[in-house]
Amino acid sequence: MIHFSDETLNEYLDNALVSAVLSEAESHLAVCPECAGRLSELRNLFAEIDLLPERTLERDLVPRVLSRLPESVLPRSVRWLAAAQILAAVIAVVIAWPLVAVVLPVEMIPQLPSLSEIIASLALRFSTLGAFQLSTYSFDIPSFSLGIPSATLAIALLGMSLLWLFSNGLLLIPRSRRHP
Amino acid sequence: MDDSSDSDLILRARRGESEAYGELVRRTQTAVFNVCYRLTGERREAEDMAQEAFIRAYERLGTFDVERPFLPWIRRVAANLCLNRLSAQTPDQAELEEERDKADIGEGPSSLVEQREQSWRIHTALLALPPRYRVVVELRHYQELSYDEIARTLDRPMSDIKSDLFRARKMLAEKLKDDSFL
Repeated sequence: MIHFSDETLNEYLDNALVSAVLSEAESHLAVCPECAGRLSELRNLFAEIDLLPERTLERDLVPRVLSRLPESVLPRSVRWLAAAQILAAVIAVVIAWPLVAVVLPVEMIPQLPSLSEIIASLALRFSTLGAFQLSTYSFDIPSFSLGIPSATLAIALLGMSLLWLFSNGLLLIPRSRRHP
Repeated sequence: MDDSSDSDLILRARRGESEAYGELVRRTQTAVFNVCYRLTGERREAEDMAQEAFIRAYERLGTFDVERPFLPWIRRVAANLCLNRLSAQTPDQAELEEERDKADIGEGPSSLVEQREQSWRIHTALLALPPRYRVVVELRHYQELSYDEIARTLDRPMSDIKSDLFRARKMLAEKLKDDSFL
């Protein structure tokens, strides 16, 4: 009679034998006292290992862990990307705002400075620090040869920016709050 | 106590709510400490390693799949961390002896003393194993991972895992048999 190896007996107790070998092993163990004895010894060892009790933790680790946590769990590349996206969205809103004001009724639009006004204001501040001066600056929305009116383009740009901000906000809401 | 689910706590922790991560640590710290204690054999070192495992896990929280349970993952992180630390050092037997004194084996009813002696025998037999054997016993017997899961956790071939586990059990059986004759 060919006996099973220790490896096979280990795999048998670990439930790692494929079904064909498993049925063969069970048939063999039923008639082979030697293999059954070795299996019993191995089973006793497993039971002994499992006897090791859990130790109690004498110190609360929470304060020490919290005091050593890094500032953010987001990877640095993601943080830079998010910052760049926010900056791009703000610039897009500023560019589009004067044209939105043209399309919508005046009373619905809060009066915000246009990009040219912001740049002029910054230039004025800089001019007080030195000789540099930017007296006049005019900004025009670039024209496209696609036949899309600038106002439509600007509103689409503004809409996309707002949609981006809204969607990112949604992603940050825990799943369970979105689907209670 | 916060009764939020683990996945909610993870999402909140990702947004920077450290209290949410604190609650996760509170829930799992004893289990993680026990992984480290079984692998290092020294209470203070196990506490330090458990702490380190929580910090390591926090740094990787952004890539963790919140649909999966947190406890098995953090226990695997702890086991890997301990293995790396153990591979770089040799166990200090003096520390083990000191730890034994702290366990107060000789106090209490005789059945309890016997039970503690047996636990100590298993504990020392485990610690006598080389670190790479010790960690596969930890992952198979105490974390109940399959061969395939252990191989993926340790990033090693499954044939190596099987071989280490069988040798570890053989060494444990011999060590426990020797101890029973002392």
